[in-house]
Amino acid sequence: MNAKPERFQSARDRLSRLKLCVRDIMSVPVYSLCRDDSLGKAEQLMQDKGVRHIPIVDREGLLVGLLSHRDVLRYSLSELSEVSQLDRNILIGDIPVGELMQPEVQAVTPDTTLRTAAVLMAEKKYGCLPVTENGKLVGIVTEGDFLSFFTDS
Amino acid sequence: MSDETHNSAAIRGRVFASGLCVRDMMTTNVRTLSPSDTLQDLADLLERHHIRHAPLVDKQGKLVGLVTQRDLLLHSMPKGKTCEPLATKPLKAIMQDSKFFQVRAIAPETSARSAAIQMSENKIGCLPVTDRDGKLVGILTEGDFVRFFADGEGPG
Repeated sequence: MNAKPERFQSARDRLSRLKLCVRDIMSVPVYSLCRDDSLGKAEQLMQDKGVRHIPIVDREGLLVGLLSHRDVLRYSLSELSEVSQLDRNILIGDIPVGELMQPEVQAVTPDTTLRTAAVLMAEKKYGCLPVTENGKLVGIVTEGDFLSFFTDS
Repeated sequence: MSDETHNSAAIRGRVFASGLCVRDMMTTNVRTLSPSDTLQDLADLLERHHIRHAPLVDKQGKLVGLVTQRDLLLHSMPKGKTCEPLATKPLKAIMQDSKFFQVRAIAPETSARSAAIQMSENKIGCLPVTDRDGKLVGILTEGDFVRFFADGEGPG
């Protein structure tokens, strides 16, 4: 039991000496959509690619928002719980993701340290951080990317 | 230094030589539900605490199942005609359908790396951690791996 903090700390110390950055673990390419794309398309993309977050970009590729699985779930539960599957599909087909996305998104750059990114995600409970360069979406960091660090070696 | 940073395989190996185990990383303050709680209870719990997984325990604290945000989405969707009200549907009714019901729990002594591999190969975001008597002692989630990078001193 006493070994816990020591083991944890020594692994942590080795890790901080690596000076890892977001670019070392971020997922590229990232699946994104535009504001006008439908919620149905977003759900399909989440299901097909097994992702929980979709950054929303404008025509120039600039990040304008983020749609999470939780946003979809929240909407489904509050607005659609009483409707039939058929009606739901019709409704969802019509709703642009721009209406459900979170417009204020915390982004990081490829040079952001991994520790800074991890602190942001842990403290603010963000499920992901879109990665931008000059406002343009270039990647995404998710919880799964941190997990992958433990599995690839 | 940047060459070394990108020489990932060797470096990553070194990080784990220390033998980190699940006990070192797991969350011990676990929000649990009982099998007789409802889907609405699950929806409230997940939303309130901003979590995606809830282990189900019996009165003795033994793990009997695990339900997730994905289960909630699946079962809150109407099948065919109209949807059963969330407020009355008990979690035990959906437990058997949950893929997590099949997943065996891990022990606190399991290595962090082996747990990470299990999570990533089975595409699951959460592993319940139990002691020898099957009592829930924690959960290991993807978020715990993020916190590992966030904790500790130094700018790295």
